[in-house]
Amino acid sequence: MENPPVLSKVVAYIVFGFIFTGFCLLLSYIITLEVTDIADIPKDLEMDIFIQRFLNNPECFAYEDREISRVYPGVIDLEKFKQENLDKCYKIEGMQYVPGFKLKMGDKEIKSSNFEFSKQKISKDILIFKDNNFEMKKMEIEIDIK
Amino acid sequence: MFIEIIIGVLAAYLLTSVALNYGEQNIFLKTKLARDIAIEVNTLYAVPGNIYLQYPQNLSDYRVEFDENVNIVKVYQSIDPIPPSYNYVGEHIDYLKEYKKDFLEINKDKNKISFKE
Repeated sequence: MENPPVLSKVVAYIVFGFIFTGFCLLLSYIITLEVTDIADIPKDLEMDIFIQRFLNNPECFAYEDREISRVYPGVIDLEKFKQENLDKCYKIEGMQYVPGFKLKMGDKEIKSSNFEFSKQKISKDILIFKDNNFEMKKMEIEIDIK
Repeated sequence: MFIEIIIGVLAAYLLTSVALNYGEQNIFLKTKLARDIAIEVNTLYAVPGNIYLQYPQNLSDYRVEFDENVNIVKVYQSIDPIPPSYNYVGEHIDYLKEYKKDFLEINKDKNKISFKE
């Protein structure tokens, strides 16, 4: 039997390579689509967890009485409400799929580095600590869902 | 001829393992675990004090790996062509050195998260 010419063998490999790659991509696309739907975590839950971090974690904005080392969850220390603290407690360099946040309280506005467009807006009444006093203020939270 | 056999075996192995993974529904569980563990790490940062937590799911069939360069949790089996992963946001983490654990024990102390080896 005569061997097929080398050129037609190479062409066959190239065609097979394209078809196989396309098939693998299609398969992984179908699987990813279905898996993403079935094992989905509600975006609202994820966003709420991050918002709770901003309000409850003393490394973010939560007020902490240093004398007795007590953290007041949900109470914001206005002194801490600054860009530097947000960057420190919500470190997202190089991450693509985490939500972006813009937080506004009074005339102070800070945002995470991945915030581009506001896709959801929430308004919350927050207890703040300012000049040794507690007072209620409105915080506007804009979220860029990725 | 030898190269064709190797390529054929590799292609067959890849497709079979993906199909088995899909058929046994492991891929759904691994994806769920990766997302759940990432969400759990995020939740720990939302708690003001110190906390100890044992992840309730037995993970003896899986390996859990935290990639600190891109902040993702990966859950996979020994050979896994598509390891599901999910992003978390956090730092000050003492990462697991041994990826295979029956139960994941997480400790947060002074805003630093560590895993019991």
